[in-house]
Amino acid sequence: MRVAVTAGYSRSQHACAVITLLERAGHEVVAVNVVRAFTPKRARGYVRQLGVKKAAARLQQRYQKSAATAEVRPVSDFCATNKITSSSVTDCAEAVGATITVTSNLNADDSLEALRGKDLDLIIYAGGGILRQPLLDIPKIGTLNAHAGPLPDIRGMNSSEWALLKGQVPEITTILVERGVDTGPIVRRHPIDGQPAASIEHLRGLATVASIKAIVADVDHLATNPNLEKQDTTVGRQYFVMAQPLVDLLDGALAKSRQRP
Amino acid sequence: MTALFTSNGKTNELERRLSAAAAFLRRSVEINNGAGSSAYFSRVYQPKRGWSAAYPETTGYLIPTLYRLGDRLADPTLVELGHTQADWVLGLQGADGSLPGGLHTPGKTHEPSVFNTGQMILGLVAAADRTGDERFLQSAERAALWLSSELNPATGRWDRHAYVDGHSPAYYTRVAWPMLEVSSRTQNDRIRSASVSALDAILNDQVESGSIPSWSFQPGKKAFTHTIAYTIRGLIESSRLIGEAADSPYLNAAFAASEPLMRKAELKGKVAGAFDRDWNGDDWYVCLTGNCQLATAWMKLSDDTGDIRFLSTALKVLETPIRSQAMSRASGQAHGSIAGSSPFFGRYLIVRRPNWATKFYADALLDAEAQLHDASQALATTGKATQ
Repeated sequence: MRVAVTAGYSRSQHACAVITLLERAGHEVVAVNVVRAFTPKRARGYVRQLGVKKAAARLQQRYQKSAATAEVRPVSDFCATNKITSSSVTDCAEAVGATITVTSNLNADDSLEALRGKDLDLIIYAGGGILRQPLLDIPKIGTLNAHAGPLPDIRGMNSSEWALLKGQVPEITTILVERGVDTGPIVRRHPIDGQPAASIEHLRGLATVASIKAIVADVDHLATNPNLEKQDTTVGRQYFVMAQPLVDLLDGALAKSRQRP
Repeated sequence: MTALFTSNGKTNELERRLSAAAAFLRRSVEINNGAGSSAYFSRVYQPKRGWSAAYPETTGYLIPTLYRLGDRLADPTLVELGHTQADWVLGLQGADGSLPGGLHTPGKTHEPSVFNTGQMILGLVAAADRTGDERFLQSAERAALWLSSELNPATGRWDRHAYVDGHSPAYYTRVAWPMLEVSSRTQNDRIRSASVSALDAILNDQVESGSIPSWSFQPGKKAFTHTIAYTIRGLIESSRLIGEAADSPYLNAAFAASEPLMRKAELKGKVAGAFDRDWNGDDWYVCLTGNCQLATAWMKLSDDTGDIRFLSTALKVLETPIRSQAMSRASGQAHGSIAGSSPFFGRYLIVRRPNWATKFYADALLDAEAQLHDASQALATTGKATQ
């Protein structure tokens, strides 16, 4: 398949792994669009959603060469195992011969122009913010996203955490992106290996690894299985960033479960 | 916020804040020699004394909060303070069963008020439950019967004794709720029937966006989150007392009114101070009182609907009041209190620290502690996903 990949920031190991593994699986990665880590609008959005402290930490993480946090470690280990040595999206894109566009917004004109005329079968969403209809209209099959939670139950943010809090086992659901938040047709469901996680950060890392594997597997799957499961959007709800005291509760529960013999 | 609520729900910081809030509320009563709690503290409105006159309405609903604070802080003097305030409210009742509106002026005859009577019933019922003293429940029943007699049976509205003449607001759900508290204890069907009529009339005011335009103080004006939360809480508590299952129209109405507001709070990272019928908000200030009330209402909604998003958003909207609590040594008599608005010159109770802001703040902190404790227990017993 001819695909383009999006990335939320230039040091996204997640995007690097997706680009590299798709190329190894025989797909043509012809374009990579990367969003600049820092724009005033993005910073404001982070502050609104996460609060000042967490937003600052998130932006710092985007700038620094990946720190060995519990969230990053599973992805780093996965990359090492798969001999993906670069954490620069630009380097990975160059290595597969893709055009590289660094943009302030995936929906901006420069981003759309870089994707049009490329005869794309799929766009692979590996981060970068909300996608608008003009971008979604470009690929022939659609835009593939790995959502880190069970659909149609849990749409939106922090889906793995919400699944845990609701007593459900977190999983990855791959979907084709539509205008609504995580409402698109379901491609497949995938387990998140390595559970129970040691902490919420660790769970996020495990979910990222699972989403990389799911994306690569489902590009192949889509080539031969065009009939997808339509979501019943009346079943689930859209979730938002989980309040910190609830994250702390989950962290406590995960830590306790690790202590059990 | 995180330091406030740990998994076992007991930290010194939470107790420090609750103690400071309780001390402020105690001072609001002591300044009146025990005869009611001052409506607010403000050096702008009351340059010399600092404190306003006592406010029967909010003194009434302060009573259950004093009991809870007394229990949580293991301070029997707060419980005793609740008892003395219940006695004071008892003495305000008119021969017809009504309770007075406005601030208290000793020796002056006060006009009865529908809403204020409802709020004082909450205190009387709490005192009845706590003490077993029949005088309190009898007084509450007389008050609820007065409310029933004042309700227009043709419309399900109260036509008189309103805050604004001729305006029967949606936040009268918070009058129906105390009436149902009485009828659930006395089995008085007349009171129950009147409260259901009032609730049904209010449901008719709800529009497609989920808002209930009549929930503002003034008809046609934006509603502070204070009165929005009054309305939602009244619906939730009424639904609980009527005992209908998950399909209760009152609970559904509370959900429909809450969900758009919750989404706004999440997407904007704050709750505007007031909203029009289409959810256009006054973003330049936060009604701190309303935030505390919404937090409590949404924690109850989370409980009753199983939609735990409301618990999460409740904890978030409580952050602004927590940050704003007057905790510095320089805050003097205002120490421990919550202002009406943030910034201090915001439109709701401008430059004042109403006793009810601190009351609803203490309620919300206690509710949050209990909810997090319950969530922790639920995770330990049923959280297979973490195992």
